[in-house]
Amino acid sequence: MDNKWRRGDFAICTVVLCLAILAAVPFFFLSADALLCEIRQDNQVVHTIRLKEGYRDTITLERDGVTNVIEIEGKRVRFAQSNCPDQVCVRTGTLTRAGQMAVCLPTRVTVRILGADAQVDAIAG
Amino acid sequence: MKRSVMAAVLGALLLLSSGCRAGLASSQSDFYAMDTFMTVTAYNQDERLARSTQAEIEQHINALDQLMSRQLVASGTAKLNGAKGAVVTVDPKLYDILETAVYYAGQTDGAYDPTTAPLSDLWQIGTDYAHVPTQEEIDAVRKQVGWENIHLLGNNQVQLTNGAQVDLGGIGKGYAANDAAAICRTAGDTLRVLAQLGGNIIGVGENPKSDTGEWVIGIADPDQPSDYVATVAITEESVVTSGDYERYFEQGGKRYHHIFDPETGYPADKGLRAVTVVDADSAKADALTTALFVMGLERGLEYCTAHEIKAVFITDDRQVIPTDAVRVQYTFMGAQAGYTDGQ
Repeated sequence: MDNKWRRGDFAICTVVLCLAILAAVPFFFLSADALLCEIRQDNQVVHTIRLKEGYRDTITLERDGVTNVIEIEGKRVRFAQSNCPDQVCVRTGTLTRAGQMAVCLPTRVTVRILGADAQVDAIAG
Repeated sequence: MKRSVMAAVLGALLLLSSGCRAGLASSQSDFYAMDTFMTVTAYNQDERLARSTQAEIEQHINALDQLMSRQLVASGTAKLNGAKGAVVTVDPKLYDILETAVYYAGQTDGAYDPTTAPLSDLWQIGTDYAHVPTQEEIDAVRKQVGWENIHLLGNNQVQLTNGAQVDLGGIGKGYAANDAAAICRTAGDTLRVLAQLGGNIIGVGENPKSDTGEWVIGIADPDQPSDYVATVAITEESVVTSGDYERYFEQGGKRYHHIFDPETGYPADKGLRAVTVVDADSAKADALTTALFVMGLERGLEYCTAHEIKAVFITDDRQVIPTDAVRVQYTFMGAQAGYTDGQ
């Protein structure tokens, strides 16, 4: 077997190495306790927000006359207001940990907290 | 030699950087059916298989919804409810679901009852028109409630008597979860799936994110449902929770929720906030959460002991009480939120 390295071999290795590093970059910059807030409507991701202390945001989403107001304060996310009849989304409470989720059925909005240190795979309730 | 070693090292690096311990691709899909939110996460080396299985589950559940929904006028259930006591030939699948519902109604002595639809229609909980009806209204509607009024005549023929109206909401998601698990198992034994169909969760295959292969499911805190007061670790099982905290309204300082006691015609009021059941059969778990909630703690615990049911009760006075059968899978986590471990 020919064990000599050719120029093409180096090129292939370099490309593969670059791909691996690129794929790993998000994980180097996110610590184990980093949290992302993913907001979907109709199964489409509409917002992805890195949660960190001092960050504030208010997101308004609407469907068929129903309006959700989602508040982000640091690492806390909640449906602050909704004019849906069942209020399940508002009653779900504040999300602070990876693995938590809140849903508004009438607007088809889901808010999830994502992170590497999720203690549970899902919450039955 | 050098090349193969380098290839292996780089391959491993890529695999590690993909973020999945078992090197599996994951695919998550959200959808809405049976009047609730559903999400299916599938893991497999072949992402196409994961996606196609998800699509098949969604399609199947939508088809079940078309059979079971009371609100869809063309559904088999709506046609049965509208037949005014005539014998109706229903889809074999709907017949099977009705048989399952009637079986658990009998097993629980009517604590789970698939004929509480007239009570739901009267109270209208979860809508803008939710209200406390008069006792006369409740008494009038209660005459229509009773699972014995469902007559399964064979050959997919069903008859409802005494004005009974069927509502399969208390078992339909569990039945659908069982079917979802069957679809996954047929698709191949390498597929690992966590399906959350409203309050019904089912894990198929080993959890690729866990060293033990178990799926860890939180049991919601009734006062803050985004959080949990205990966990159960499962493999090839379903976890179902019913509680008073999702669909309810308050009047005169009292909470009126959507789980009706067929005996009284009022929302069940036996000192419980929520009941969780763990079982390989999600339809059974679904029916039993409602039944145990209606039975209350004392009778519910007796039932669980007699039938070796894995259940967790959360009481009004903030106790979290697991049954003997579930203890090995159960971890209490509610101390910080003010709950006591009722073991």
